[in-house]
Amino acid sequence: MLESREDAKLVKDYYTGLYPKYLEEEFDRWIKPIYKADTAPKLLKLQREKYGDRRIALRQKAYGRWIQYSWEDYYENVKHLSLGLISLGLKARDKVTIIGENKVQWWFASLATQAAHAAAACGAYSDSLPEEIEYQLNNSDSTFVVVEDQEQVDKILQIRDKIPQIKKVVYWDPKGLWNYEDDLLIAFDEVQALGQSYDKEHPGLFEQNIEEGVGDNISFIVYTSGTTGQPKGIVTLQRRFLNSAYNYLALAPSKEGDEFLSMTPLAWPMDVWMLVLRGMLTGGVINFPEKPETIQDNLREIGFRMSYISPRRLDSIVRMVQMKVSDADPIKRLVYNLFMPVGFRIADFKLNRDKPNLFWKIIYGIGYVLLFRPLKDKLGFLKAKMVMSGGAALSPDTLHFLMATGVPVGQLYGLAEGGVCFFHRPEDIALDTAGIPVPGTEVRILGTGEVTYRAPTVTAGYYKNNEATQKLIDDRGWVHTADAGFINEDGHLAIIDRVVDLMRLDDGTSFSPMYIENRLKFSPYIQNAIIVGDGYPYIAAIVSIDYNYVGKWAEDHGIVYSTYIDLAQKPEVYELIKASIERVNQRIPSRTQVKKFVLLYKELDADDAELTRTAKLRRRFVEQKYKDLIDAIYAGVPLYHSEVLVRYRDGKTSTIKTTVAIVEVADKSLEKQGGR
Amino acid sequence: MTEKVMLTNERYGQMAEERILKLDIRNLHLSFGGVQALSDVSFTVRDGEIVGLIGPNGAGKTCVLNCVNRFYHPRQGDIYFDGQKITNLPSHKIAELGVARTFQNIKLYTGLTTVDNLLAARHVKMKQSVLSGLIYWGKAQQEEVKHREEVERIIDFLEIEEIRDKVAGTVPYGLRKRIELGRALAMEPKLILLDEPMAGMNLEEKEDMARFVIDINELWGIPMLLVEHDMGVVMDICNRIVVLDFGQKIAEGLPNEVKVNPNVIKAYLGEEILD
Repeated sequence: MLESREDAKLVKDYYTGLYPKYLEEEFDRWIKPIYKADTAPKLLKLQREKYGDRRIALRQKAYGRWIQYSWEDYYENVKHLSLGLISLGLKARDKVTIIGENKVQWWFASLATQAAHAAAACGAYSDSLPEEIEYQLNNSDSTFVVVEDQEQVDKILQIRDKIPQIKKVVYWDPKGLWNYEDDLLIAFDEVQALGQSYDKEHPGLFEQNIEEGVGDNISFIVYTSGTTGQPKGIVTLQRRFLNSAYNYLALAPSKEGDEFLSMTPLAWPMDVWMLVLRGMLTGGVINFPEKPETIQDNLREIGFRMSYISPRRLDSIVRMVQMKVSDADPIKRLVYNLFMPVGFRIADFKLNRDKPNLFWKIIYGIGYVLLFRPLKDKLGFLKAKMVMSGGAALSPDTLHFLMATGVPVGQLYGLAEGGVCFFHRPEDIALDTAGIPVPGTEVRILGTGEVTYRAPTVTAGYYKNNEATQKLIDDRGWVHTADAGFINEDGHLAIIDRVVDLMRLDDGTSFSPMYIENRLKFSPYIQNAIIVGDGYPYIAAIVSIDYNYVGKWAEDHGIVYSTYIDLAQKPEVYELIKASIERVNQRIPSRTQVKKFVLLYKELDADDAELTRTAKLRRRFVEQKYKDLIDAIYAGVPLYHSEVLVRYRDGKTSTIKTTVAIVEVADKSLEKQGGR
Repeated sequence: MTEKVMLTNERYGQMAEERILKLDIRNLHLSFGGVQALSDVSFTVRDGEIVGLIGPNGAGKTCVLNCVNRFYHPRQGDIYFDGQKITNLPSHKIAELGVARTFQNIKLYTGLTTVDNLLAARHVKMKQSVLSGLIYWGKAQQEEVKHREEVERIIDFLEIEEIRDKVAGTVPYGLRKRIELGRALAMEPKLILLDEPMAGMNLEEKEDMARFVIDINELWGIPMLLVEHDMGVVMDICNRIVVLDFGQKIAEGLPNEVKVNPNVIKAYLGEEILD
C-alpha cells in the first residue's frame, strides 16, 4: 500500500491532474474502501466480507463446465490450504515454489503461502527442466513445492537427493499418481483436509496470521528467464505487489463482475499484476482456462473485458484469421476483402488522432455488421474494452490488423523488476510506442539515452544477490532498464534499442540505427536499409528497394525500366522512397532524422555476406564494404560513381559501372511546427 | 516407466493364479476356404492384466479379436467371457456384456464431434425411449446430463479437451486414435480389445498412448488384450505376451521369457540367423 496518507493524496492529485477523468472515480471507488489492506491476504479478507457468497470471484473450466468459486469459496480454499501447509511444517519466512499451468490451485497456493507469513517463490514454468527447478528450489530456499501433475512430480522425484530441504510436494491433479507410494508426496485435497482439522484445533489462527502480515513482507519471488547467466529471483514486497494493482487501474475503467482470462504463465508477474490482483481489487471474475490448447475456445466462451495477451499469441491469432479466410467460401472472402480495407482506414484515423467523416462512419457501420462484429465474436474479443500486450515487440502489422477489426490493443513497457511503467490508453494507441507513464511513475532519460524510472512498484532487489541489485537500482531508487528510448511529441515513450547498440553523432547525440532501419522497412517498397552516422554530423541511409513491389509500382505508373540498377536510379523511385523516409522522419526527433539517402544498386543479400542467414544486417561488414559510398555521402557530392563487382548465382562475376544519386531529405520539422 | 512395470510384473507373478478369468479362448480354429487362419489357439486374459498378442504379419492376431467380437465365426473352439460362453452371441450382445474394441484403421463417425462419438458409444447404457428423448424433460434430461458427465471424464482423462467440439474427421490421426480409445472407454467396458493402437504414430504419440493404456489399467483395473507391432511398447506395458505365427500359438509367458524364446526369435528373424 502507499507509504502514508500524504502519499495517497499525492498519487490522487497525480491521477486527476494528468489522466482521464475516470481515474478520480476509480480511486474513490476501489482504493478508498480497501485502504487498510497492505497485503494481498488482507485484501482477500476484506473483499470476502464485502461480497461473500453473492459474487463469483474465480472460474475454472473442468470436465467441460466452468466451475465457479464465490469469494467465500475463494477465502475458504486459501484458508484451509494455508493451515494445512502450516500443520505440515511451513514456517514464517519459508518459501514455496509453485509449478504448473494457470489454475485456481496455483493462485490458492500463492495466497495461502502469503497468508502464512511466508513467500511464494513463484515458480518455475511448467516446461522447466529438472535442473532448472533444482536451481530455483535451492536458490529460493523453498521448503515446499506445489505442483500440478505427474509430469512435475516425476521431475521433482528425479532431483530429490539434491533438494533435501523440501518437506512436502503437494500435487493438485492426481491423474497417474494413484500408485505412487512416497512420503514426500501429498495431494492438494489432503492438505486442505488437514487444514480443516487444524482450524478446529486452532480457531482464529488464520485470521490472526492475516492481521499480523505487513506490507514489508515478501509476497513473491519471480525468477528471471536467465537468458544471460543463472536466473535471478526478483523480490516483490507485499506493498509493492498491491501498488502494482492500484497503479494499473489507470489502464482502463473497471466495474464489478468484469471478466478476465488468465493465460500467460503465472510464474511471470504480468498476469498477476494486470488481471488477478485487478480482479481481487475490483470484484472482477478471473477465469482460468481448461488447458493451454483450449485458450482460443475459452476466450470465446468468456468474452473477456480486459486481458493481457502475449505478442506471440496475437500474431498467431491474426495468422489464423488470414488462413481461415483464404479457406472460406467466396461470399465470406468477398465480404472480408471488401471491408478489411475500410477497417484499416478507420484504424489509420484512430492512429492519426483524426475523426472519420460521416461517409467512412456509414461504410464502417455496414462493415461492422457484416464483418467486424462476427469476426470479433469468433475470436472472443466482442466485449473486449482493452487488450494489453508487451514483454516483446508487437509487430505493427498485427496491431494494425487488430485495430482494423476494432480490437483496441495497447502495448506495455516495463521490467519484471520494476513493474509496468508505460501503457497505452484505449483512445491513445500508437503503432510504435509504449504509451504514457503509468500514474505514480517518474521517468528520466539519461544522457546515454537510457530509460530509467522510479515507481511504487519497483522490486526490493534480487534475492541474495546484492551485486546485481546495485547494478539495477541506483542509490536514489532509479531502475536502470538498459533500454534506450525517447519521449516523442505525443508524450509517448518510444523504445529504440539496447543502450549498448546505440551510435553517436559527432555532437554526441545518440541514436539507434536498428530502430530507424526497422521503421524504414515497414514500407513495402524498402527491402533493407543501412543507417550510418556514427561520428558524422548527421544520419544518412543506404536503401535497397524491394524489386517486386517497386517494380509493380513502376508498371502501374507507366515507368519503363530494364534492370534493378536501372529501376533503383529512376527519379520517380527516388521520390517514392523519399516520401517513405519523410514519413518515418516525422516520428523521430529532428536531430536523428535521416538527412540524406541513396538507393543501392542491389538488394542486400545473405549470399554476399551482407545479411546473416536470419536476415539480420551484418553492420561492421557492410560499413566496410560500402565505405567509399559512405565517404561520398558525407563529402557532399551529388553523384557517386562506382564499379560494382557482381557475383551471379552460378558463381561468375562481372564488373558493372554505375552512378548513384545522393539525395537530401527536406527537413519537415520546421514546416510542421509552423503548421501547428 | 520400465521401473514401474517391472514392479507390477512382480506383483502380477504373485497373484496371477488368484485373478479371475475374464476371457478364456479355447482351441480356436478359423479358416477361410482352404486358408487356415487360426489353428488350435488357446489362451486367457485374467482380470486386471494387459496381455499382448504379437506375431509377424498375417499371423492371425486381428482374426482372434474378430472372433471375440464375432465379426468372424470360428469353425471350432469356444470363447468364454466372464464364465459365459459368447461364441454364438451376436456382436451387439457381446458389446453389451462389456467387451469394447478399437480398430486398426480408425472407425469413427467422421461427421460427428468427439463428444457425440463418445456419447454414441454410450447408447448401450441409455434407457430412455426416443419419445422421452424428444420431449427432453425430467428423466431424459437427467440421463443426458449423466452421460455427458461420464463422457467429460473420459475427455479429461485422455486430454482431448481442445478437440471436444471438433468434428472427428477433421482432427489429426494421432488424436483420432485417442478418440477411438475414448469410445471404447465410454462403454464402461469390462475388457478392451486394442488393435494396434500405436500404429502410424510418432514416438511422442506412442508414449502418450502407452501411458493412457497403463493408466486405464491402473485406475480401473480393466483387462486389455493388445495387438501391437511395436515390440518396445509391448515389452514395456504388457504383463504377459502370447505369440502367434501362421495361426498357431508358438509361445506364451512374461515379456522377458518371450523375448528369449527361440521359437519367437525364429518366427521374427527367420531360421538361418538362429543357426
